[in-house]
Amino acid sequence: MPGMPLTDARAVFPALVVAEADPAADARALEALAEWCVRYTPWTAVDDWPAPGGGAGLFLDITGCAHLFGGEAALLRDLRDRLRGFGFSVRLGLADTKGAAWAAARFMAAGADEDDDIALLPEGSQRQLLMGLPVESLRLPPAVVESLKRLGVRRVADLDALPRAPLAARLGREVGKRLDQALGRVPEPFTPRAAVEPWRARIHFAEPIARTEDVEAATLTLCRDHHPRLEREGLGARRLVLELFRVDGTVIRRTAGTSRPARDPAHLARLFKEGLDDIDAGFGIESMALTLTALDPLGAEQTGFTRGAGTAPDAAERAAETARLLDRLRTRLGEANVLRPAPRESHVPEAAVTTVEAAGGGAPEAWPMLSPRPSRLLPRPEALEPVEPAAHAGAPPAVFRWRRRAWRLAVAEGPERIGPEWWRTPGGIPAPSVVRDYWRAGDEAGRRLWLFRKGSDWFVQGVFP
Amino acid sequence: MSDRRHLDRLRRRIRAIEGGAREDGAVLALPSALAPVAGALPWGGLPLAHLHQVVGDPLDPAEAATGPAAALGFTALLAARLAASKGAAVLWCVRRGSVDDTLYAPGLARLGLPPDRLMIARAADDAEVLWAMEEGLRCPALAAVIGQARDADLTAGRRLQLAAEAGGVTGFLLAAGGRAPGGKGAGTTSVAATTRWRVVPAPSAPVGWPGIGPARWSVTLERCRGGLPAHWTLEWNDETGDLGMAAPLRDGSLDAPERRRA
Amino acid sequence: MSAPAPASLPVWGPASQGERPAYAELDVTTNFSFLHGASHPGELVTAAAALGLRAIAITDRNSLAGVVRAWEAAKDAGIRVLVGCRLDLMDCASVLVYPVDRAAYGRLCSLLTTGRRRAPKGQCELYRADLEAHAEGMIAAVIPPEGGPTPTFLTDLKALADIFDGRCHLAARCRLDGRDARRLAALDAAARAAGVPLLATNAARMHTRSRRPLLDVLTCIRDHVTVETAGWRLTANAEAHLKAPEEMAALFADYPDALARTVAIAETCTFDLSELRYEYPDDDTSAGSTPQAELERLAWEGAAWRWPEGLPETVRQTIENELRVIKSLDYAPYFLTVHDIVRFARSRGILCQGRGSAANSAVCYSLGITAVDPSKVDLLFERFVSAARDEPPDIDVDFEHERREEVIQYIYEKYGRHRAGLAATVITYRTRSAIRDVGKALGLSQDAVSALAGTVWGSSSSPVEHDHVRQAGLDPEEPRLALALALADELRGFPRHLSQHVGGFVLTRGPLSEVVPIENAAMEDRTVIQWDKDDLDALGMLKIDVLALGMLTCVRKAFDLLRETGGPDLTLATLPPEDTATYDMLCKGDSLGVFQVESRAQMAMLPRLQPRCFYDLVIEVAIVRPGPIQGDMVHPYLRRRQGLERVTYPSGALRKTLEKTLGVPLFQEQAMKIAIDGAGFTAAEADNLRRAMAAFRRSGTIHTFREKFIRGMIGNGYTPDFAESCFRQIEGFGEYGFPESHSASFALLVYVSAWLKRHHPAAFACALLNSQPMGFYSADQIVQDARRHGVEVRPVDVNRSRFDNTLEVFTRPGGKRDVALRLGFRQIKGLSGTVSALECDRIVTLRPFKGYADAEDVWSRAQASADTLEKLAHADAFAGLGLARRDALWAVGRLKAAPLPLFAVADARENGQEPAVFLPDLQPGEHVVEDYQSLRLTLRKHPLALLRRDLDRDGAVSTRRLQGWTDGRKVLVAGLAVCRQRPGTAKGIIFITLEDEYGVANLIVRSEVFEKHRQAVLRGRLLYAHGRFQKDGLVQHVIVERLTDMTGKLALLTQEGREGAGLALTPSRADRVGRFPEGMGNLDHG
Repeated sequence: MPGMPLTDARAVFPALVVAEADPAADARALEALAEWCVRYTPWTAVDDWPAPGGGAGLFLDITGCAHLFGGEAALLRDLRDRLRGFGFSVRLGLADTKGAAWAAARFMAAGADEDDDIALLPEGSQRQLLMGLPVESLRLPPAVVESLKRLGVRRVADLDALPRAPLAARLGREVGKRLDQALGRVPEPFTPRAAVEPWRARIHFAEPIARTEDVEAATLTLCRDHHPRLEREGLGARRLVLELFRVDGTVIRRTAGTSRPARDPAHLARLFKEGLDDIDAGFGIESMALTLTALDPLGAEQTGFTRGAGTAPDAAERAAETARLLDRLRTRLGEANVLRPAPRESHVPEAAVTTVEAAGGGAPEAWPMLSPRPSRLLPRPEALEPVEPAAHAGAPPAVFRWRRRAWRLAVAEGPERIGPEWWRTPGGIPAPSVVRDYWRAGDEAGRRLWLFRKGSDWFVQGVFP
Repeated sequence: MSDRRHLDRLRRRIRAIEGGAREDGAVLALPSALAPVAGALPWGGLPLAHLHQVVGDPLDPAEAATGPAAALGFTALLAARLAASKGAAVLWCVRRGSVDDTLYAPGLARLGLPPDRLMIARAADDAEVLWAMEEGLRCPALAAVIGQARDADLTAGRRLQLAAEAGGVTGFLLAAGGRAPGGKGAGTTSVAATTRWRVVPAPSAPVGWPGIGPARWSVTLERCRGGLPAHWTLEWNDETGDLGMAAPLRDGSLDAPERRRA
Repeated sequence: MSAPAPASLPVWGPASQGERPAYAELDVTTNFSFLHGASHPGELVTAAAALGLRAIAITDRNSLAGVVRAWEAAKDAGIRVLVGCRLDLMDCASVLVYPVDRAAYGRLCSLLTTGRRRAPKGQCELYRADLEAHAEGMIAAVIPPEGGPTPTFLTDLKALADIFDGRCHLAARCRLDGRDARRLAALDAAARAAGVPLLATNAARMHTRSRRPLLDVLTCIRDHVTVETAGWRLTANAEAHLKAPEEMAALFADYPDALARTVAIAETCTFDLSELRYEYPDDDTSAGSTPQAELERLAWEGAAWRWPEGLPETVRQTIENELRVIKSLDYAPYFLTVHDIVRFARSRGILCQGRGSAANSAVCYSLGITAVDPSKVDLLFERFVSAARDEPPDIDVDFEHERREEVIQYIYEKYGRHRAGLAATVITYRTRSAIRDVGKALGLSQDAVSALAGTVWGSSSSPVEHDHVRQAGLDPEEPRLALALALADELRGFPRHLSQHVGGFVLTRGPLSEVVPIENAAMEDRTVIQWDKDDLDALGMLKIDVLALGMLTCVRKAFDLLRETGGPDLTLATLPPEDTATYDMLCKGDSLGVFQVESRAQMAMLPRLQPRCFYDLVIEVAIVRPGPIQGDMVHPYLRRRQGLERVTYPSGALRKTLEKTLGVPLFQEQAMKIAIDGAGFTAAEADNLRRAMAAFRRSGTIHTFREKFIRGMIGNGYTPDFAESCFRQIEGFGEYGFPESHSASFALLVYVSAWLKRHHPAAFACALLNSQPMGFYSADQIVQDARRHGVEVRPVDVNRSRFDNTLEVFTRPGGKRDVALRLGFRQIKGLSGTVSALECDRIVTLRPFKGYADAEDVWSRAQASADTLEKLAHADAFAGLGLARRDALWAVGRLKAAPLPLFAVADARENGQEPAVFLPDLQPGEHVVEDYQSLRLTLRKHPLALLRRDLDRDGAVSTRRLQGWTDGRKVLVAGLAVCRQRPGTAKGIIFITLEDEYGVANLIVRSEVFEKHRQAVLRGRLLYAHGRFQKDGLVQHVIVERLTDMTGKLALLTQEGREGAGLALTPSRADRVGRFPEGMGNLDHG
């Protein structure tokens, strides 16, 4: 029930499954469905009238298309069955005017029996059929509907009987206009949606190609094909899929990504360079396609790669150049092996670093000036073997063995006590005594290690310069 | 001393007349606290767009286990200075899974390499490290490239030097010791770098509280094209980030007050 | 080689030998620094004592709100508490201050008052200059920034060192962040440079390290983040807790002086809260007289007025006795003040009545504070003010809710804001709010959080039950959820902010701001002190409760209406007493609208209890409460009253106490007496028990009394069963304590309102409607009830109604004079606001003698907005002009689009020849629907009368026929659900009231049935209830077996089906099953 508070709904039905409304996703889905309906007619549009009960709607102008599907009724049934197949519940109305079709779909198609979910208004009879429908069927604002009902005006016929001028003086001109539109007295424009062109470029070869250089050249051509549109729409590619169609019908796919939106054809083409060395062209490649699967805005003005000092006039160019370097490194070394470390807000040393793909993005810019941190952190803490205990309780052992070597401490400073991230530990809150006590310790030669004690055990976790 | 400086200036002028690489004239000015170091360099600072080599102590088994430590700090500080003066980032290339592949960004940030100045490339082997370094050195948008490859030889060094000159980016080959000194694979072989430094830890001066003082490094300029070897003890304060000359310890001994703890 | 794993965390440095080091923790943040501290003051104090600290200072942020609780806890724990405060200054480093003596404490209070009064509610704005002006007699410790001294800080330190010449310290703390040693060295150097000594602290924010999760959650709540995203805001470790002297000594091994200084400060600051000599204002004493003499004069004068035929000897003795007690405790000024406030109210015609233990005394009756004749009700005078216990008297005065503000402003005016302040109410986390905030902080989905919160009834304070969680479709064992439940349990009871007490005023002779800090309340023109009523109690400070009561408004309005329409001129005290007809009515459970006894539970109790005299009403008010119900006292009492069970007493000692309630304890006072006489408690212990009862929610300390109580009772020869049930009852009182003294005052209002309902039903209904919102029932139900009692109710009429509902005097055929109730414009939906009231008043004032001619006439004469006119038309208020509802709407519709009336009148009249329009006539059912939409009630046929034929066909029995039904017979009743209640005391049973054209039927829906028919129970408007009829004397119910939602049938009322849903009969406020708070005995009824 729309407008019902969640707590009330839960009281009525405790096992209620709740999903967050996502109007943007709904709109996208509806848009996609309108796109799909192009199979019936090129003129499709999304119904933007806030329908009672929230049901979404589509308009299809099938003028001159019905015969392709064996007539209007057959078309409607086909459409209905396919939409049902997608898992939608469907009501269809067909009439001479947009308004009448809307009314038919929402107020005449019942959806109970087999064909009841289709209301096809025969030509000529729709005026009569419309007259019996409630005034809501005219796509009037709820406040207007409310006022009409209070006046006892419930049916379209009641409304039609009222003198126009006093009606308009009270409820506005919209009421009469909607009525006339539905009855076909005045036209209602139909604005079909614009088609979305996919980001795909294709090239066919007169002769199948096989040499790597040719493939590379074709890749560059494809990148160039995308360039004008990317520039026009102010976008840059983030992810690209290159498809090589072999004569034998198999497809070779290569994907590439960029660390920031890019549209320079040479740069985009270079991303595939490494990956094209070892392709097996078989009997040759007859065509190739390049699809951009992810895009991001790329304005003329680019955000600087570096911040702070040194924002020289060529900062933008430098940022672009750095991004290209990163893309090249990533293509050869792999995504995971080119890192841009970034702070993560955690006291636990291992958890204090994350990596970002590109600079910026709301992450904190630096670590707070906590106690000193080593420049090397071992992948995992390594236990040490105490040889001589410390002079004072709690301090690191005076002599210990680690990595097959004896270390004799000359100085140590600490402790820095770090507790676990209690909310992350499975099995409940850890005992408050579960902590690590970190010490910085130096030997006589000046080498410095980062040690910690957990319980009675000592570990090495890092090395200071 | 003043003679020496005069001589340096002359040498610089000669080099300029000879006409070296494109950016030969550009140097990284060192802070006044490092005036003696600057003085030892014929360029009056660290020459940009060159390859430099920094090595640790090849005989120290500790460094074999943990990778170069003092040398790493020294290199990072130099690179950070470059990054700051150019407003650009540093690319650090290491071998995946090696002892070098343990860089800890919060610690590097202390050395002057904050997140927006640092990129790390993890290569599969030395060849890839060198490839990545070369790519980086040819990218004029970077401030410096640091690489940790054990197998760099003269040829590799020359390639890197050329790339550095082409891209105008300064390179550092950083290596610890560990195996036979000077032997292949030690990462300390001559790579025809413009300078070659050896940086090893030194005991730090005692402090007035029960704790640990600023780190000290023993820095040796071992090779320097057109210069003479030299040696200093430098002190790096990890609280302030300053690098300066260490005050000499009397008799080289730890003249510490009585330690209360540890 | 290494030390074995330690149970507690190790201490660094050399272990000290020999004697324990001495340490006092002087930096302690309690949870009264809202969302900063993670422990209650009491927990901190108790923990400090257990750790062996020399003393503990409470230093909340710009606040003294937690000090009284700490001070109280310290009395039991045996440790000294220093009153202190952490001052967060706007232009300077934060400082901890400790007043050395009473004078310095007063300066601290006025300093905080200054800062609080100039900032918005909950905030404080203080500068170094303020501190300088108040610094005398305070010891200070400056708090350095986390990282160590900065140049700015050093400047601040120097300045503060000058201000606190020789009394300034630098607070040093070991954070265990790896830099302690160097920080302490730096602080030591800074301290030396500024010439101030170093002071060791641990900045405790919790009493034990295990509170760290809660502390982190509080941080998240404060910053509106989740634990996942809070990052560095959270603590790295749990070190901000109270530490043992040994541990502190180890941390400060290099600075032993810093440790020793804590003890020195604790010894220097001798101020103790017990020094607060509370003095009541004596403004009302005329020159040359003492307060006592003044009071005695007024009391005897009043007695002569109250007993015009002569003072009975017993009363004279009582008054003398009371005056003697008052004199010995020096409470005369207090009584004079209450008297003055009551006198002011009366001079303004504001109805008021006192209640509370002290109120029901002969002196209060004589002074006119109360209207209950103490000679008629045998009240326990010992509870009034006991000379043995130095417990302050307690008088609450209820005023008409619409006019209480006048009284409050009078008090501020008379005593000044520096001497008068409202007590605070500490708003604490309840189960629901705790689970909500913790859930959010732990990053549970919005959905899961509301599902969890939904499992909690109302404002409950008991833990979430796992079964309920499972019912909500969640797994309580799921780690994150379990964590949320556990932490919410810890958070429950934590103070969240200070609010103003509903009306508790504290008045002092000297400046109040030197006793306690005063801050701004949320409401404009209100100031509130930082302590709540328990704190005031603990310190023995008096407060006067100036409360608001809707029923007093209603009664005053009814009295006014009677006077205006030629009825009797009545006051609370002059109403004919002990009227049989009134009791007859109540005995039938016919009590809709009557104060306190109008709920379903009370309506069901009345016929069982059969009240026949005033004291029966006192019992009636008290019996349907959680205390007696939980203690299982209700049924024994009823059985004894009906003579089904012999009246016995547990012992001779208790006979006197329990005699008037037939041996069954029903009142709080009796529970106390049982504790004293039965369980051997001392008076002071019983007093503590009573406090524990009140603070049950907060501390849960009542259980410590349990064992002693039961043991004491059994030891004195009572049965364990009786002991158990007495204690259960005491626990019940914890939720809603209800003393006899309150009952007596309430009972008077029960009697007055019942009398009005019985003898002047039109005036009563009219006053009830004009006092809305209040009470349980909707306007519809009030109107229907009035009509069933023979009141003629007339519709809203643009030519006859006023804004308020009114009475119209008329003469019945046969010459009998009568009054009819005319509905006012305020009943129309959308016209009840203040703006509409002004407009409606204009319509009334400018109404021509002959009345308005048509809608346009109202529009042009009264300049009523078209919007208002449309509402009037919709309410059928033009019917009296012969304008049908739809025609009126059509006519008004045109005005909506027209320009301003002044210019358009002629225009509209001359050019406005519109074609005639024929709108369909409304059917009777449609009229009813429209009535409900516009007025939420109808004076036409009841909707069910219109459906009756249909209902008959379905076999539904009308409520009229139900009267003759036999007990136990199956029945189907149909009706509109007008009231649904789920009292917390009724084990999940839901009461539904169904209404048809003849009356109401009461349904009882057991929880099994409810589960099966949730939708119908919760949402249905028209219900069919199949069940069994149950009749017990006058009490009739239908025990429901099956419930069907027949709301669809209402569609039959209108022309076509769809619109039927428009009969959205607005539920009364009692009709809120999901939201109705637990327990129904809310004292602030109305």
